Amino acid sequence: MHLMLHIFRKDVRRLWWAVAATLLLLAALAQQDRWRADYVVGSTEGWLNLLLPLAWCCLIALVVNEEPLVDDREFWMTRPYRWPTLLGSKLLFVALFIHVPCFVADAAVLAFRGFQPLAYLPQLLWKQIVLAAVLTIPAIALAALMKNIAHFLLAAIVILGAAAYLAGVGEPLRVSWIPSAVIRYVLAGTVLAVAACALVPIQYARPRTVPARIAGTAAIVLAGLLFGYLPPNFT
Amino acid sequence: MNSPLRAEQLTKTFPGVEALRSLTLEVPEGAVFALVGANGAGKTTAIKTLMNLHRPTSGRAEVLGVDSRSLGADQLAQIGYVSENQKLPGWMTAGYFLSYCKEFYPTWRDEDLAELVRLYELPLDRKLSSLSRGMRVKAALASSLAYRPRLIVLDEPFSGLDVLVREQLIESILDRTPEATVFLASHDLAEIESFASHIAYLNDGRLEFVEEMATVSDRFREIEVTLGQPSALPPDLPATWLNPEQAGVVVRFTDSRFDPECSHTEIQQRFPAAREVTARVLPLRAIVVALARSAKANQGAR
Repeated sequence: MHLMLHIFRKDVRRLWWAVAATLLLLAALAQQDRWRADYVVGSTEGWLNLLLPLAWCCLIALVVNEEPLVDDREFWMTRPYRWPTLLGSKLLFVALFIHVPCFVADAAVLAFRGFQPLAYLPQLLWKQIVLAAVLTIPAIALAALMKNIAHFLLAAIVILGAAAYLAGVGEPLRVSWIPSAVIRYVLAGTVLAVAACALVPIQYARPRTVPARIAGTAAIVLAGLLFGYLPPNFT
Repeated sequence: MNSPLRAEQLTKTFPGVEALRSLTLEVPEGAVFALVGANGAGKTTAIKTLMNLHRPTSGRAEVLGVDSRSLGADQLAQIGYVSENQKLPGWMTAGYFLSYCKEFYPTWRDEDLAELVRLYELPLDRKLSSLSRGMRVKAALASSLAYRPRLIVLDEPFSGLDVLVREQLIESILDRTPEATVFLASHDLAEIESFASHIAYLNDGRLEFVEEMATVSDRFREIEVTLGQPSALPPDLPATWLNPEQAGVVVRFTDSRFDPECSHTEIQQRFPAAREVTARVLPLRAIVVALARSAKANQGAR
């Protein structure tokens, strides 16, 4: 625990500016959300909705790559780090600077709009689980397989581009309100989330980048195939 | 006596390259063990495989009594590792870097660190990225010696450093022996010769010999034979006579198994017309050059 906090403090000291930037973006988004009268988002909020996840991904890549798992020349690799301690420090960072602020911002928006946040605690927590499954854990997994943030961004652009293409080929990029139409997204997302959840501890416990990259690519292809071959609606 | 570092048939291949071929060696406790060889001979691969930075393709190694593939925090807390191409966190000041490292080592001694900082004249308030290469190596070494490691592993620590810095580094490393065992790879043969107790020579991934430094110095001689008249080199020269060459009446070669009596007899048999025979002690640098030239010539012949 002591060493986990020691590594965490070092990461905060190094990345406070990036944390501040994401918190500013989140605050701006929450402010836009709380003032919005219509259910349709405005252009500023739309951009913020796009920028914030990207900023979070960059923050995750930066913190993971403080101790890169790919390059064998990194000084920390021959120091007595224990992998659960290292992974724990990274998860603590992500939880404290992404999940907690996001949770607080959602609760604040609810409160401002006259709802009691505690009454919606299950939904608020569920959103955090979904955020972890579709964004933070896959981003940690991707960063753990990349040498630096430039490689991470390139890989993320390729993956997101492929996802957008697949979604566009099947149907317009939208999610139907009919629950059955969401199944494809849920299935593909679940495959990616499960693969990411498995890859992160494996890669931290014993970095074996090539097999891990092959497994990650296989999961992405499987998710793409599921998405591409399943019908948009089951009704 | 326990060996802090041992390799048995350790092999590492990369796609298309066999970087390390069946390396077998045992480093005695308290030794200053130098691994030498030309560029690309496999020194760094050997060290990285021993340090579990690369997985061996076959064979095994033991470091501090543990299989190198299972090397964990408990062993790493007793190993000081410094490599010339190690990436240090450049954003940290030297002082913060040292205090950051301290927390990982239960045996860290502040008084040892203070002494190293003083000896190396480390500027604690400057970022590592703004320091010269020599200063960065000093910072890495200070962070690797302050906890009195049992095993010090150094990969080309002196390359590109000026003489004064090298002297400082060697002095501080030798201060740790014989309590610590030193295993280092280096090109710097003159330096190695001055302080290594054992030497291993790697050529093209293969260990050519591993011996105590004194034995190596004893068994290599440059032999110069002056003949009475010019004659061709005999065809059946011993394989231990490396790089034989002739210029007029003078024949020169490196005897890699020099023994005052046997070698003299053998020379007399091969060169009955020899007028004068001189045997010159070779510095390590000349020995390694002779071995490398011989290996290259043998490869060409094959």
